[in-house]
Amino acid sequence: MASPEITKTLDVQGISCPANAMRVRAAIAELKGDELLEVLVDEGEAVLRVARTLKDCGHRIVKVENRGEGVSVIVGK
Amino acid sequence: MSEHELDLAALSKVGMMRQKQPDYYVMRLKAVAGDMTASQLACVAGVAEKYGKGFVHLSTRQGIEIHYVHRDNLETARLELQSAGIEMGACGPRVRVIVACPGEETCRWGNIDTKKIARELDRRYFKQETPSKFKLAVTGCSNNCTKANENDIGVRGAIEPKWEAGECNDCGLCVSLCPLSAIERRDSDEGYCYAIDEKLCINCSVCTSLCPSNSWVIGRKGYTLYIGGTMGRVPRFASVLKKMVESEEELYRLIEKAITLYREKGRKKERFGHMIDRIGLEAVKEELRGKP
Repeated sequence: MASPEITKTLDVQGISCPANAMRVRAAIAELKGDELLEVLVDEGEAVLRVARTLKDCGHRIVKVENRGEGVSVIVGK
Repeated sequence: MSEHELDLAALSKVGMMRQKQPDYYVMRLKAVAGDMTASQLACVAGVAEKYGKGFVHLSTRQGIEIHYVHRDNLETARLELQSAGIEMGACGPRVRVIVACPGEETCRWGNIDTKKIARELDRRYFKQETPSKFKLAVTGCSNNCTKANENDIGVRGAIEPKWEAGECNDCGLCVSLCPLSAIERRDSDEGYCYAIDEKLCINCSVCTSLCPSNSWVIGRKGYTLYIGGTMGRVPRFASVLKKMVESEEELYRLIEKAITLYREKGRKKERFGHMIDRIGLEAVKEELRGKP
């Protein structure tokens, strides 16, 4: 699979729930067409919360990778 | 035993406990799974105003207690509560009110209908006598909100997740989300697969609930049954009797066997878990589950 093209990055590490998930939603709303957004989120409860919001809103998760104490989540509309 | 002491034992049986203050009592009310209707709450408030000191105390087992009720008013207060369908709780060496979390009805993580199980356990065992106090709790998932493993009998909703290729887009979210890091991606003949280490899996529902492509599905669903938990003076976490009990019938059969064994072999004032330690956990498990 060709690596997806990321047009934007959003770092919500250190931002508590649910503000982190709300920022991710707002950023996704601004994506156009096939654009992808890379979100950097804290591991643990934060990634769980963000994943939950993404599923509830029906957004597409393309790739998730652990990066030290954070997680990179690549999402599309 | 004097007449007065006899009277106290009888009162304790119906959930009324003497306070430090002479002639004043605590009325412990029953709320299975912590549920009460709004009109019942209004009745409790009225009784607390009229016969208590106008406040209630929330117990650690999801119950309501009305404090400072004078001995002379106990029966009148009890009848008033009864008229709203509120029964008294339990004290002393008997089965206490069954505690439960809201479960699958409202909670995203809930794997089982906790309230249904709690009501059935209540119907079967509430207030029945046991060697020492006996507490049962039902919790919907591994989050363990009602602390199944701190009760004499604990029931925890459990699922065994199973990965199906289906619509999986290989995003890898499950690997990051699994609380126990029990999921790994492996190369396979078909390209890749996701596998779970069953020994590490705590049977929660994080992967099955959050997989964006619904590729993690529920393989088996049931109850993890704990025995012998207690907090209090000599704490002991419960032991797992069976990790996956698949039917309600089997669940009730095992619980019945456990309570029967406790009644047969438990010493007075000895909690179930301490009886298990005295006899030996493996011997108790074998007795309850049958020989492997």
